[in-house]
Amino acid sequence: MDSTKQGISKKIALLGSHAVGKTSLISRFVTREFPNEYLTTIGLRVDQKTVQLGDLTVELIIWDIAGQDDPVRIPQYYLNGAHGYIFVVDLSRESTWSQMDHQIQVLEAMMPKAKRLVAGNKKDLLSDKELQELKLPVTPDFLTSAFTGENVDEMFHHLAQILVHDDATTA
Amino acid sequence: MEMGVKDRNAANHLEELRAILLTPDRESQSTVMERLAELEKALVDDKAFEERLTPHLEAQVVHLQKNFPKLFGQFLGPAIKHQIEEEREVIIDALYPIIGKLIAKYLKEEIKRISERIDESMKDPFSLSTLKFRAKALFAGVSYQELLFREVTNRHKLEEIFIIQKDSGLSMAHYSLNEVTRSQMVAGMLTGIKSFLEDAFQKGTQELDTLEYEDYRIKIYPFPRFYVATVIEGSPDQEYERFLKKYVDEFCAKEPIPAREEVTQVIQDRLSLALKEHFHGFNQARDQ
Ligand SMILES: Nc1nc2c(ncn2[C@@H]2O[C@H](COP(=O)(O)OP(=O)(O)OP(=O)(O)O)[C@@H](O)[C@H]2O)c(=O)[nH]1
Ligand SMILES: [Mg+2]
Repeated sequence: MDSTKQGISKKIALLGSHAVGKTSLISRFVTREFPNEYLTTIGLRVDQKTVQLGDLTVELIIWDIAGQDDPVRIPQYYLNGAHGYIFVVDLSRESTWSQMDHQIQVLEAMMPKAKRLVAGNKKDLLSDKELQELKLPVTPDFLTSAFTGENVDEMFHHLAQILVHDDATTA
Repeated sequence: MEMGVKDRNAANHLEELRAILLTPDRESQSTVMERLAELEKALVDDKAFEERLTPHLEAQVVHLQKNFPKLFGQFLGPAIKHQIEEEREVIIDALYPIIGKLIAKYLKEEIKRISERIDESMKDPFSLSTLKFRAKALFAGVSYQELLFREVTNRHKLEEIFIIQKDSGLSMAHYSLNEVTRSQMVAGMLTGIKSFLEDAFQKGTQELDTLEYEDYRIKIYPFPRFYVATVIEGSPDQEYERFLKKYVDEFCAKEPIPAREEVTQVIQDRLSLALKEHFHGFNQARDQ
């Protein structure tokens, strides 16, 4: 009788250097708000939000992990059991993406089973021309702005979709 | 070097760290600012320093306030880790209340939300239950929202019970006497904090078994791939704890808990229902 009611819970993590906008992206997605003050995340904060994909309800449990330039320093126990993660860079600050290929490699080793998306955030701070000229070591799957909300829901929904389709590949 | 000075310095650092770190995240910066303001005050109190230092200090305080996360963010992690290694015993005492607060904050927000929701649902002035509640509130001399809040929070001793997948921290089942709805958030934070503490204070392979905050106590019962967490109001005596442990063990013995598998709604519904059936009479059984 209950067979139409399908649901699944998935743990995802947001990772990347300091102040790239991890908390702001989550806040935009979960509460529809952009925090107007920068308060650095200390340790960890967990949020949850349900995404509806057709008949399927995906409950995303989002681990907002304090920014870390060197991913080796992220405690493994925060990443354990993660089904997916979003690696976030700040498009307007090269220092947050110049090492991204290496950083992603390290994260892959720490979470071999997790699906990955790469977000280039703070899109609103760059002109179209600047965006075109940007050469990132790894091409982001989504260019987002937590400030305007552009592509934020799309990104989280896309990740939810990837997580429930085992055969899907990460970009 | 004088030991006394070193100790005092260490204690100061620790105080500092304690105030800055692991405070509920969004409060942390205001703590830093308060501290800077205090520091500033202490220095300007001394008349001799006042004129020479104030302008520099103000500029510095503003600079620090603005740039604290950028300047120090990356050093905080290793600094805590180092501090913890050096000062295990001291820091345990310092950390516990803070961690408790963090969880308390989550649970309190939840309970408040629920009481607001109930309040909302009782706005219908003609419903009998509303009238009853209003009458009761009138006699009791408190707002009926507050009364409701009390009813919701004080009725039972065992308040919450979770079954949590160990690695992912996902809640596999939850039964609450308070109808806490964002249970995944609580389960995740609890798992993060538990891992952090076990890593920081690793004493052999021991797992964390109790967290306390205010008038609540979280007991953790570890199994290989999941753990059971109970939130109890008040300070239970040993006999109470034995009684509760027996309930938990009985539950885990009779109910298959597929902690290797994906956490699906079907599993959550089945387990949560089983939890409810097993535990709903717990407080009454206990009181007899
Ligand atoms: N213009 C613009 N600013 C943003 C955007 N996203 C975040 N910010 C700002 O960037 C700063 C850092 O944002 P956070 O979301 O706190 O960054 P974080 O990655 O969580 O930082 P840590 O917790 O320190 O690791 C804040 O001042 C935000 O207001 C964006 O899309 N556009
Ligand atoms: Mg953050």
